[in-house]
Amino acid sequence: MSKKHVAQPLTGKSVLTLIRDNSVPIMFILICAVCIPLSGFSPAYLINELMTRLGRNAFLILSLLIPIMAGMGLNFGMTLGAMAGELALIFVTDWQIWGIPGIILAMIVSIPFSIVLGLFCGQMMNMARGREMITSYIISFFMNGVYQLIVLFMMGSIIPIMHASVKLPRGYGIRNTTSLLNMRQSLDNALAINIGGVKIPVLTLIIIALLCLFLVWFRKTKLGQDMRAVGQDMDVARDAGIKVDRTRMIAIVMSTVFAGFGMIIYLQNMGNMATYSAHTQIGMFSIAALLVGGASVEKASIGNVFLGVLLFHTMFIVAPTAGTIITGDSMIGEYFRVFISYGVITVALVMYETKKRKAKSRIGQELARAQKEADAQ
Amino acid sequence: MKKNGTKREPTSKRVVVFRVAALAVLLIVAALMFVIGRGHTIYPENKSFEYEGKTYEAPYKVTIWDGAEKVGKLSKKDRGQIPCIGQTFQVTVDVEWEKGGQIERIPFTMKVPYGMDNVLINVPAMLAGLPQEVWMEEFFLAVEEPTEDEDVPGTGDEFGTGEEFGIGGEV
Repeated sequence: MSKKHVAQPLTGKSVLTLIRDNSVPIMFILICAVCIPLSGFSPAYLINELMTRLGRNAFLILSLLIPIMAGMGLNFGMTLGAMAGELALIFVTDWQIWGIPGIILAMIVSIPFSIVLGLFCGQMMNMARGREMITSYIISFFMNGVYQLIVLFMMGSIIPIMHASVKLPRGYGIRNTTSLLNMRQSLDNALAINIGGVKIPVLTLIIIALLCLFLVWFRKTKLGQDMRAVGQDMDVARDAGIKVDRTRMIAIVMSTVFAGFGMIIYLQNMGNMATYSAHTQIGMFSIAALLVGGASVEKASIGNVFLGVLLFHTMFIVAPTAGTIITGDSMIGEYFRVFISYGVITVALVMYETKKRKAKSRIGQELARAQKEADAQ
Repeated sequence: MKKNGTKREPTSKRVVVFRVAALAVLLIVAALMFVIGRGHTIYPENKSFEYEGKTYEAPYKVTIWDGAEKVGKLSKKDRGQIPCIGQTFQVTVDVEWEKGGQIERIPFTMKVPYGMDNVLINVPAMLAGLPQEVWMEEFFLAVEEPTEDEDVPGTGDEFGTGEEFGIGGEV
């Protein structure tokens, strides 16, 4: 029988619990509330910047939701999907496919790369069950080496790259910066509308909305339910006949494929690609944004994604200027946002472990009490 | 048989059909994107042109329109640059033969060969109605060499601490 949730009046204890459970978003709301007036940016400028960043980052962050649903925590391995997207973009740039067709082709080309990388990552995570986050984090470093080997030495020598504008002057390897000028913001500009000086990238937002709808639908499918069951308790799920390893693998593959798409959307907005470093921090700031939105290692929703993008990126926009005004040094603001980004991930991980330990000890205490009562009877 | 002794369930025919269909759709869309998304750069050149002993003089001014957008304005001896996606280059050309003279509007369509990245077209020869192979040729651009060595991985310190300190810059 399903439990009915009845609205309860807010007591002092429940307010404290609410604050404790949402401490990260509340902290960021306070930071933004202080920094926005200090920065002196106009509302139109801020909203415009936020809209751009929402279109640029939301897809990437949404790709993190499926592994969380499957109990695999924050997928630092999304970097692998980003690499797949970058490989596809290098090929598409060399083939001279421009505009929206170039973006669509890059997405299609990225799929096989993402699947292979996702399968590898999923397999590794199944082997390192219970330590998925650190495993995926290290895998992304390992794969970065493989990516550099392919892009720096194999492209142009073994893998055909035709255009000299893409290749390094030595004849093989890809240039440090790949120009995506011919597809720059083609997705964002298509169907874009301008309201009061704020550019709204309608097509990009439609694509993001479609992914949100897909995620909502996916949760209700058999596979989605299986993932949730695996996420709650692997042993129970296995006893119920769910193929746990396969389900977890699918979660990672889906996340990697979506991360590849997200990276292509991200880079088409930027208009150029730092070939060897564009993907390195992508997992970090996507995860930071999700955590800022109030998500945890074991629970995240679409709402967390959007709240996270808004708060995290507001901080990113206003912190340098606010830092300059407060301290007189623009670098302070830069350092501030960097340390906040890493700090929020650390705090979220510590809070997750603390909660887990508390829950464990509470269960232990309850068991001991029950045992005592049974002995007394 | 799998390692743990369980038999792998055979994939149903319906699932296989769906997978093959999805793959086919992706391949078709990819092929379509190859055709409709192929980018070319067109370089219209307003220079006098000699062909079979006859000289075709360049007009005083040529304005090129892509729909309502002006994409090029060429005086004598000028060369423009117009991006073109797909294999059909369709523009309207406003020709002012002499200074202060009447402007003649000429719609212009040409097929761009798939394999050509950069295409040079001579406007006076094109306006004279000469065959396409006469006024169109592939244009080879000299690739700009970087002034300094490219900063590729492996050239800095081992941990990359010299240039980056983490999440910074544009995200």
